[in-house]
Amino acid sequence: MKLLVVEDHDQLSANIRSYLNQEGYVCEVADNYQQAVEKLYAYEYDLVALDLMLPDGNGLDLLRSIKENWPDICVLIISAKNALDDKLQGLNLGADDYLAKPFHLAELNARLKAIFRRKNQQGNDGIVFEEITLNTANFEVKVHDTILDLTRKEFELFQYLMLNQNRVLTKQSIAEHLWGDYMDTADSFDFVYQHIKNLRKKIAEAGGSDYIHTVYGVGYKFKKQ
Amino acid sequence: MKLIIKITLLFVLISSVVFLIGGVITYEAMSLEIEKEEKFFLEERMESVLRYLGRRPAKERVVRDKLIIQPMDSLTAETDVVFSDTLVTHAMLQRMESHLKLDVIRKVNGRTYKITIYDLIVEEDDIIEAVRSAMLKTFLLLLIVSLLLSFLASYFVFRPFQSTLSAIRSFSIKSSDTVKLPPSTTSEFKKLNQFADEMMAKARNDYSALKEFSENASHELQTPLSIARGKLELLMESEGLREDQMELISGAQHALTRLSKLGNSLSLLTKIENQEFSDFEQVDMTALASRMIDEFKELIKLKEIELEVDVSPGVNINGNQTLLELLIANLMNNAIRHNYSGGKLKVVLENAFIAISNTSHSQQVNTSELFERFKKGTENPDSSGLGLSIVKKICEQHQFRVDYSISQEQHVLTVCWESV
Repeated sequence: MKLLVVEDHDQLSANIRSYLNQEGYVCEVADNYQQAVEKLYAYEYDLVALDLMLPDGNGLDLLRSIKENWPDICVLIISAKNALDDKLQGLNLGADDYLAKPFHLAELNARLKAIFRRKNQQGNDGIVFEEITLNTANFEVKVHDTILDLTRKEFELFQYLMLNQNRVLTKQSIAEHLWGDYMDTADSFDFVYQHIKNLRKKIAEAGGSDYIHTVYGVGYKFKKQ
Repeated sequence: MKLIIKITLLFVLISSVVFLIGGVITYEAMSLEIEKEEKFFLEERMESVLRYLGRRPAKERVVRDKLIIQPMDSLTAETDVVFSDTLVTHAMLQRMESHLKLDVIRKVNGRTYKITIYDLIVEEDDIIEAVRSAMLKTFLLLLIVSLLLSFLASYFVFRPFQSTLSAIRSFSIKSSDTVKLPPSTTSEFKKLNQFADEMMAKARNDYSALKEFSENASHELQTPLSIARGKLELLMESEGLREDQMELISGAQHALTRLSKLGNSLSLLTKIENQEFSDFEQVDMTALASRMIDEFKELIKLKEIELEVDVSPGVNINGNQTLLELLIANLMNNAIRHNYSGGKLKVVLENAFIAISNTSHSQQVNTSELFERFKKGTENPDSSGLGLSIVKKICEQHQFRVDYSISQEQHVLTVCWESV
């Protein structure tokens, strides 16, 4: 997977690159409009993560030009403006998703993977991990061919964990992924804990191993024993 | 009162004074002229009497209608014509009327006569009567004509003013369409148009500068926060971290998240203040409230709060969809946050209002403090303290009334959109 990050803050793009490299992405950075256009002409990308505020131009114009010249490239908008207009306009122009700054890198990772899966849907919507299969098309999780009876939120939580394997997911990051802005941080940690507890119970009942490891005081990590 | 009516009334007032003075002048002029004419007339009659006496001298006193000829001693000297007023019984009216009298002594063919001629004069009352009625009629005519004409003129003269007014009324600070003010030949209206043009341009500039500033401020704040959070996330991935070190990182991330949420809330408040959410439409509150309650159902259940919902069907109000959603979300959040496990939460939606009540360990809160920024209860150090300020701002923007009360251990927040 080849990704172009168009972002003028080099520290931010360095974070993204360093996080995504571990996921096996080939990640390149353009820090202004002009450079982004040059790179788009010179190389082939699967995905562009696009900041809307660029020093030498408007990200929305770049989005328009990408959708015109390279319609196969998926675009994820990253913006700190958090202006509703921009979000709607971006999605109308053909962007695949919109992520407001500041975001958790795990969230970015999950979103990119979701976009990627939507793009490459070829009958296989599953994420397989040992004895567990997660199907994004019909929201099913199977453990040894037993379908788990999960609530919507439990499914979303499990998907988030599976998409960010071998990474520490903080309780904040999970809470924000599940409830967005509505959630009050003080309560949310208990809720995350309860959901994890239920999830573990349901997986264990179906005979699955517990791959969800608690990182004390911080969050959880999905990995092999 | 319309300007044109004011001007017309002022004009009528001034002209009534002019008409009064004019009446006096007319009266003076008329009576002077009439007196002159009468004297002239009496003198002419005197001449014809003299001619008559020249042909047929009178030997004794002759009394005719309004004429007395008295032969005099031939020694009596001639006199000038003397006019005087006198009272004579009017033959037909049978009452005394004032007359103008001419007395003269003249010699005709050697005989001396004293001639007295008199005639009915036009009385003062009659002149006043005539002048008054003439003035009154003219004044009434002037009044009617000037009123009619002023209405007619105002339609044409004030037309550019009216269209300027309606152009200003339709002016929107956010749209970029230039407002076309109609040209006018009246210098006052030209000045007004120029002034309005400048005002509108300035308002738009200020607005867009402010909007840009708050957007940029938000961007400049969120970017470093984003960087710091990312670095911490990467740090957390590094090998060989101890649990206590992980906890430190997590604590720092937590604080950064709060900071960034605070920034978002403040910029949201600014945006509402800047009227960036002014697209109003009919919003189905029944559907919106039901949807938002569903969103929060899980949290309510997790916190073991007893939920009671009473949503009336078909409640529609005029407002901004995004803001109304935020309004209910903030109210719900507030009711859950200050609640306790095993407490109650009740949502009532009626045609005129929505009321959300909740149990809480907190005591009665001062209403004025409740909606202030950064005023928060002691229980939740994590809350931003901006939720109810946002609620209040949204209510102000929609001209809703928001009330807080406490009854039967329930804290009730009511938002009314119809004045009851």
